[in-house]
Amino acid sequence: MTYFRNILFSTALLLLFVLPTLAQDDGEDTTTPPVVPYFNAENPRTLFNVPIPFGWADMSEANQAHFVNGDLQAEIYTLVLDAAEISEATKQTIDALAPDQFGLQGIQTVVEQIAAETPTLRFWSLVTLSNGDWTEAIYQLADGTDVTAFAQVREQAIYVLAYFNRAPGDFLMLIKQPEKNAQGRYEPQDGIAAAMTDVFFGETLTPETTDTVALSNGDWQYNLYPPLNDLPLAAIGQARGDAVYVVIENGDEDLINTANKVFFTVFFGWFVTPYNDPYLYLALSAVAIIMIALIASIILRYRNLRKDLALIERLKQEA
Amino acid sequence: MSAVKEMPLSAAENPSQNQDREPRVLTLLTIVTILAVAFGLVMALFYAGTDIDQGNIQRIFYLHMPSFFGAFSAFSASVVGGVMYLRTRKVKWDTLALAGVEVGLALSLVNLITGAIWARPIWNTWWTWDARLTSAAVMVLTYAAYLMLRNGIENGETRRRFASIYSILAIATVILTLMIIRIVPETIHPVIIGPSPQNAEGTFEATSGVVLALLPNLLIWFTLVPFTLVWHRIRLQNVVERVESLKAELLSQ
Repeated sequence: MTYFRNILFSTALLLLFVLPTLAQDDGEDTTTPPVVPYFNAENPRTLFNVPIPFGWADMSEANQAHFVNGDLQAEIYTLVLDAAEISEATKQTIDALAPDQFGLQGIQTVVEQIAAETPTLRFWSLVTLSNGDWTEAIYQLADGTDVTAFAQVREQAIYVLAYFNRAPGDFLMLIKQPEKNAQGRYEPQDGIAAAMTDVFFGETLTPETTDTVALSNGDWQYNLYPPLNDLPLAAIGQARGDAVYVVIENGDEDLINTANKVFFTVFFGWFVTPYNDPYLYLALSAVAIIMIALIASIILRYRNLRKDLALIERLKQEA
Repeated sequence: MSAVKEMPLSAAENPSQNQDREPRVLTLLTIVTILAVAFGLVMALFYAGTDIDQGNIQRIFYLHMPSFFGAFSAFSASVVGGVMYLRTRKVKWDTLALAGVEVGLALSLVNLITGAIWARPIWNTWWTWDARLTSAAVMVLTYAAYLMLRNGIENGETRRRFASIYSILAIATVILTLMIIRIVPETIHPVIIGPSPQNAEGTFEATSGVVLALLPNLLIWFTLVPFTLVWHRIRLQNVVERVESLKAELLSQ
């Protein structure tokens, strides 16, 4: 009987220990997110990841995402530039003149590294989005390639996203923050107008037709302009969160539908690994304090009790 | 359990002072535990890769989850102690229960505090009244109350009986903390082994690197850490019992 009770008792205990595994194995009320191929940077100091756009060839290296689309004649680069890679003299000049241009210098360095030539700056600006300050720059290379690039400075590193359009004409992307309307919202039309002024300054550009088009990433304001430099000119704009996102095309190819989606897939999917090491140190300190407090209390109480015991035994002998 | 058997449990049972000398097995076990914890930390801080979404704070998970399982192990020991005391009325089982609660409370505090620190950068708050967090807090408070209430009862036999029943019932809070995601699926607390609840925030994939760093830590904190600490706490309690016994003996003379 005792043997049977012991077995029953042991079984109950075993079940108690198995419970944690059972609790973790709940398949109900859950959803499995779709698998999106991601590029993951390898440098542990400057981690980031970006989604690989569908249909683009992944030519990435260890710490540099590089996607190529032959049909669009376009390339996307996402990489991190260590601040140390920019010369001290340049940094001091930038700091003295305009600290905000540090991101711009980073973009230029990246474009120079990739294109092996000094690009011509066409336009640059600063925008503040929900995920921090971004520097935007548009460059022209000698062979006619236009480069739209964004940079964010974090922890002594510059995170750069660059879109190289090697197709004839222009293909540009801008993030604008024009005056808000009476309802406190951004008007896509205002964003487009501001963008057109920025990149085609000096030109009088009035749209021939305006329309709203539904693309895979939402409704966009669509403006068709008279041809510029004998090439068709069109622009789309969308108010999204704290800015108006604008895509301008001055070329023969109909790139807007595909390229804007691809570019913004990378831009919005880009995730920079947060720096939160101080919280890790805080947590490790907390663990150490709790465990040391427990162990120290056991040791101290034990020592004190041993003294008490010795005293009581001495008193007992004397008595 | 062998720790309970090896230790002198009262002055009446083992009056010899030589019995207070730390057993070699315990010394060895303590050294092994310290080395194992250090090894687990190396695995967590250096071997495991940095989580690309969460950054280095994710590494605290290698202590957060194992410490809960360590607490579970210690609280289970208190259930064993409680049940066995009620069956046999031997003081040694009550000693085991008390040691289990004290060690389990420390480990569950580790779990709770590391969770709160992780939540700050990931959830943007130190604390939220999510079902899992609330049940974990209730668990910690329940066991803290055990220690307070235990000290409030003068009579030794009554205290032990009360404490035994309390420790058996209190395990319900531990089981509830484990099972709460089944009862309240809206929890935002992630689940690493198995699919996370729909609203989970801050979850990450259990890659081979994560598993390789987690398994040794889980094993160390689930077995070695609570076992060693409980054994040391039992030794302390044995001295407490002896001092009380001798005091009573001296006063009665």
